[in-house]
Amino acid sequence: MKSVKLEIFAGSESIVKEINLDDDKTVRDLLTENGIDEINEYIVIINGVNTFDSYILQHGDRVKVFPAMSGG
Amino acid sequence: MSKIIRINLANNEIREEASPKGWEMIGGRALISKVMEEEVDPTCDPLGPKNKLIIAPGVLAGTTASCVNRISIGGKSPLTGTIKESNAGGTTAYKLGRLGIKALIIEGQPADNGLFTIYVSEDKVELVKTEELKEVGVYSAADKLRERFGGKVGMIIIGPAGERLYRAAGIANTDNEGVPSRYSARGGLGAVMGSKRIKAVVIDDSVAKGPEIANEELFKKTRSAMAELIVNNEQVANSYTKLGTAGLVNLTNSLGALPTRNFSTGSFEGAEEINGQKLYELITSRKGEGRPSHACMPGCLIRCSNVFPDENGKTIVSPIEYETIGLLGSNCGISSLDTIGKLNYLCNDIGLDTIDIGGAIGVAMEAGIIPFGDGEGAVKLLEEVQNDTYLGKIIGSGAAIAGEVLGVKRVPVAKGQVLAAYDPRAIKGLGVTYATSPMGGDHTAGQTLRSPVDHKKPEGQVEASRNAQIVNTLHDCIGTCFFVGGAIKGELQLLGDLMESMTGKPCSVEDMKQVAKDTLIRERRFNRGAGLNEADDRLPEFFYTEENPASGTVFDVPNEELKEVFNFE
Ligand code: SF4
Repeated sequence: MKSVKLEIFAGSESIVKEINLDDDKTVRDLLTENGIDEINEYIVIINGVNTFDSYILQHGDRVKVFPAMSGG
Repeated sequence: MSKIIRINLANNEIREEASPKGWEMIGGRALISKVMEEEVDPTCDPLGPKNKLIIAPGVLAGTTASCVNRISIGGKSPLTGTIKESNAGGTTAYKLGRLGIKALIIEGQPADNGLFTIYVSEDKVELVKTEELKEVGVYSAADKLRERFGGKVGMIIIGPAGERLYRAAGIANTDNEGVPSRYSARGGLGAVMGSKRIKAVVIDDSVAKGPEIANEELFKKTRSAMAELIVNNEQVANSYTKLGTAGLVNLTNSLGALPTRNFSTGSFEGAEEINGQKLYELITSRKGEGRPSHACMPGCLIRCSNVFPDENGKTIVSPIEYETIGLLGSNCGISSLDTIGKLNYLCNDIGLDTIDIGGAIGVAMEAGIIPFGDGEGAVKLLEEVQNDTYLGKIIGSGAAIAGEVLGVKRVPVAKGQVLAAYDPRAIKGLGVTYATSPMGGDHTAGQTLRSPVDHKKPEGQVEASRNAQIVNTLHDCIGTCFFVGGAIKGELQLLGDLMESMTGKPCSVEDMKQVAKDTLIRERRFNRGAGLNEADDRLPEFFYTEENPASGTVFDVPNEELKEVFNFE
């Protein structure tokens, strides 16, 4: 079984969860299961690399999810 | 908008002209590029009488749609030696738009060392002597001008930095509350204004007729459609509105892209002390004058700006932005928002670009003048700038000159201008933008953070930067805030509809992109005329050879590919 650490930054709070996955799951699956549908409105960084929705999660991945922003 | 007003300081002549035929879609940055190409010798001395300072609101200015009142200020830059457009929020574009003014063009130079203010209203434009404002800081200059011209005027002001021709001098614009803190900061345009001995432009729209809108019905319909998208956009509420641009600190820190200790790495151990969450927490717990969300211009529904208070609830500075946090904070190893706020206030008051000054202080720290992380030392350095000491003059010249004088080899600039708060080795598309933009190192020239590319790989970055440069330029030409694009979920045709409602002519996204491309082409032509060539489209060597330990990468987009950025030329 794989497990990943998920951190969602939303507003002033951040949600941190350890999640166990029994089979192959993509970033998109993980996000929808955690209430995020509009995946294009977010930037997902896994182990320090920005990553896209079809990536298959690996054991030990650190997944950080940010609302997409662009500077100021 | 119909009028162009020329103010010639050589003979104090003020002339009003009708806007040329065919310029309906030309405003802001597009207008600046046209005037510069047609009227200014690209080889001219940026601080001499042949350069011009052009103040141009975008095409939609003066209306109350959300985020459409950015101001463009431009000329030839004394910092980069290129054409320059520096863009800001605030109310000055709105007020000029309401007066029907498409551009103010400030020309020539006075023979003596007087100091003037330009007063603009519905019935007159005049040059007023304001000697008493010599060497006066931006905040108290704004107060004094308000006493003289009335509480509701909008103002464009320089500080002592601009008067003294410092290369890192910016130009302040007042916000909704009259606070002069929305900066057209980049490229040393404050020095161009100072070279013409103009302390301020005061804009009085109290009896203005308002902008001419060709199709009111279409305008209202589009304004509502945009408002609907923005207020229902949860991401916007959670990010820009709540945390402001400071919300980016966690994101860039996670990518290894947050400039730290003079760009020696891309993640900062003090990031949690300077991120958007911390800023929000401090503002909401300190209360008083503090506000986590604030609109910098009339009508903005995103409200990414803020007012940052001290422990007693008194304002330290408004706003604190991500780029300032990145350059004056992590890039200097400083992990206190209170210190960053104080540095930000000092820069605003002296009239300096926080990005170039953050870069210069970082370079001074690398030179051992003060250690990294020394917040008090940084404040003292800015006091040296305020007092115009020799060391102060060096810092006020920006990082490129400071690095040369202080013997520092790692100087994070492109075309002489400090890079914004994204390490180009960790977000390579921005590296391409910094290297190739006609504006020099500037994130607002082509922001690729949201582009669908792996930021650490060289592949796809040229295309990402090209697309971003076109879209950013589009916003700079019509006068919209770049953040509105994401907030309306990329439905740029809505901006086209707003354009149509103003001009009466159909306007597609392609039409707007064409204006942007033509602008980029003109800007590059001007730069070639000024003596720049392909060799100037590069980053400093250390980004190619020295690994950013946080991202594990160097900048490796091949030079051959960089040539392809402007393949539409
Ligand atoms: S989103 Fe921010 S910068 Fe843009 S107009 Fe609104 S307050 Fe100003």
